[in-house]
Amino acid sequence: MNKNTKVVLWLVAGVVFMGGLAFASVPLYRAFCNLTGFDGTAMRADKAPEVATNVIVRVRFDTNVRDAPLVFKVEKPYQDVRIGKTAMMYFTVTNTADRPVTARAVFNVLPETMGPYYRKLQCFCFDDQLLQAGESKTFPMVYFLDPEMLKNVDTRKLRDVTLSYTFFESKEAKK
Amino acid sequence: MATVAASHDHHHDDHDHKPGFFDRWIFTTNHKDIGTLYLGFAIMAGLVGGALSGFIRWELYEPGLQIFAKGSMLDAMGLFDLTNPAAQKHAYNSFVTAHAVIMIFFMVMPAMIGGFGNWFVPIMIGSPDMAFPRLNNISFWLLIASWILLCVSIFTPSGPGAGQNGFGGGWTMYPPMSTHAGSPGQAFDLVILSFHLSGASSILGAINFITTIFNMRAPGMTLHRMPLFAWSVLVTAFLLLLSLPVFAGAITMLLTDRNFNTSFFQAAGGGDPVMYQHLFWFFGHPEVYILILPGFGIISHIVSTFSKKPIFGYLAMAYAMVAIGVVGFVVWAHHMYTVGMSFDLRAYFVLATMVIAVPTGVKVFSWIATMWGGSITFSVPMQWAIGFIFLFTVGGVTGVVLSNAPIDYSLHDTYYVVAHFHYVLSLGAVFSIFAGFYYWYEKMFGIKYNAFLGTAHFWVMFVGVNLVFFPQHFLGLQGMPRRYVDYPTGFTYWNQVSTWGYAITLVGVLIFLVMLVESIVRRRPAEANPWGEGATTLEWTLSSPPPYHQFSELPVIKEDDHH
Repeated sequence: MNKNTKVVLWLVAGVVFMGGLAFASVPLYRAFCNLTGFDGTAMRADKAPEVATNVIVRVRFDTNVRDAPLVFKVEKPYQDVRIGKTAMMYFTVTNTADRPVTARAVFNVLPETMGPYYRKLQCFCFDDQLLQAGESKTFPMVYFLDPEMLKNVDTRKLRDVTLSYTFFESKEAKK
Repeated sequence: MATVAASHDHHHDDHDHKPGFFDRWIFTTNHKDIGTLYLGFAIMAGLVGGALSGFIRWELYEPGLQIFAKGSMLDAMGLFDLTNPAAQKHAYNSFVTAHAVIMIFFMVMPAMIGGFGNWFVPIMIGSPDMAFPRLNNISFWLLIASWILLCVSIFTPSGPGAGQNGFGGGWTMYPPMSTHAGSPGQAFDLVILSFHLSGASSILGAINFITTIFNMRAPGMTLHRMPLFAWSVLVTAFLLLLSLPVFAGAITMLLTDRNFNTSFFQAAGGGDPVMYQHLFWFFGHPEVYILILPGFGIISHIVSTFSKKPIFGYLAMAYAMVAIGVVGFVVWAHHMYTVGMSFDLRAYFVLATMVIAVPTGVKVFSWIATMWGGSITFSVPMQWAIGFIFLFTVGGVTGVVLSNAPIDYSLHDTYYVVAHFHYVLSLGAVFSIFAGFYYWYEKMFGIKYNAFLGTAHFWVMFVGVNLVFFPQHFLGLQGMPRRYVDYPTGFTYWNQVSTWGYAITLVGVLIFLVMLVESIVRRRPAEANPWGEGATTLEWTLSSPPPYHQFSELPVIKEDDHH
């Protein structure tokens, strides 16, 4: 192998590696967000904390539908909860079409820095939801605000948090 | 930089046989011919991109819509649909986008890397040509294909409304402006394909430069004796090689999001539009160093030549460029402070960004130290080089201001940012290109230019561009956002000053064209080394223009007493 070929092979390997990294970043970024709650990714939790604090935070709920024949409502627009105390909220989705619709809710917490501390024990957004024609379903969403948020410089003074949901028709099911 | 110990210039006329017109200019594999093609292309693209910015400045002369309006001179050209208000505003945005893309990918990059890089890297390292001459030809023609796709895209429907032609989402192409929702038409697909081709062209060029510099240096030309321009192109080539594939990946994901129903960046399918911004700026930040690093190399040569001194701190200068290149890869998120990152992350990006000011400061102070105590000649290239150092430093200082996340919160996407990056690019990079052009013009084309016209070009352009961009700092601090066709009347005064500055710059460009024509008509034969003892690199040991194939006997470089 002459010396030019050797250099070129190294350089092409560099190009392929960086190109591969661009695509690998998609699952990596998602895994990173789910792991750390980065960029407002609300986190799943298995159990509630044992002690609640006396600090009260207003949690607002925002419901949206995009490109799907659904009506999506929340029981109350906001809820005042104590940090560390488990709370519940009901959401209702109605299929207004005359066909079954499979939909999934995408969620986000604002401010984004609250992502790691907004922890859900039970949520309809973890799975695809199938709604028959005209069917209406009510889902509970069980969550708590992690007391750890009081230790983070970004979040310790926050007393107002918004959880936003947007229902989309599932792409896989649409086809 | 090493001086030439033994210069062998034994070319004969029979070695200098040039092929016929088509063989020479279409199928050429000669690095000097390809460099000339790149330079010509860059001048042409620069005139187009400059004309686009002229319409932008003309429109912003007054509040309200004048140029991007029905019955205007632009409307009379009949090329753009200005029948409804949405289409008028879109046309402005597509002009802004095309101006940015053309200036970055089709003017600065071809001029610096394709033009001066091809011309002088092989000569400076004492090599007969590039390592892969045919690849070099492919790089150039891929760029032409890319250019054609981009030009077609400007006249292709983009939408979402009727009559909205040409992609208008800015050179950053953020989703959702770049996904189906924001730009359903075919225009943006053409832009993506155009970037794929120009990216391929640049990657092939980068591979070619790195291989040439690693394997084809003349005997004795060690990396630590290599001229700084060759160093700058080497670092630039590595930046291209490592950042462009990420960009290609990101725009390929946009392409599949748009056409094959994937959801990399579409929230509807669980994708994240912010991830596009991370991928884009992972490329985009190294890209701005790609635009300026070869300019650093050019300026080092000119400052050294006309101070009649070797460059101050040669090794520090070379490794400062390496440091800028390396750190340039880990600062990308300072372009996106406002996406809602955590405090710690912002603190890191502020710090990393400010660190870049250190090697950059090493370069600026070393240029000044080179001039210090030197026997300075204020020739045309030296004027441009000193102008560059001043303007680039102004742009660098506003860059340090913007690197502070809390300040950026209020200045983000304002004209302050526009002023900052035009000071480092439109004034910095472009001034270094003109400096290099006047430095090597006689060498490349074998004819002298009129120094009075070159000096006039410098002063008119210097006044013009400062008048265009300095007031934009004020507009930005007052809160005028970028990328809007209209503004409140309170911003009128400085916008008018800025537009007058454009008119003066235009006169400067006309002087440049007159300078070119005058030198071509008069054809005063050039000397091999018009700059005297300060010009020590290998290109000055050859005739002007250099023989068609140089160094049939390789020069031997010896250590000299300069460093």
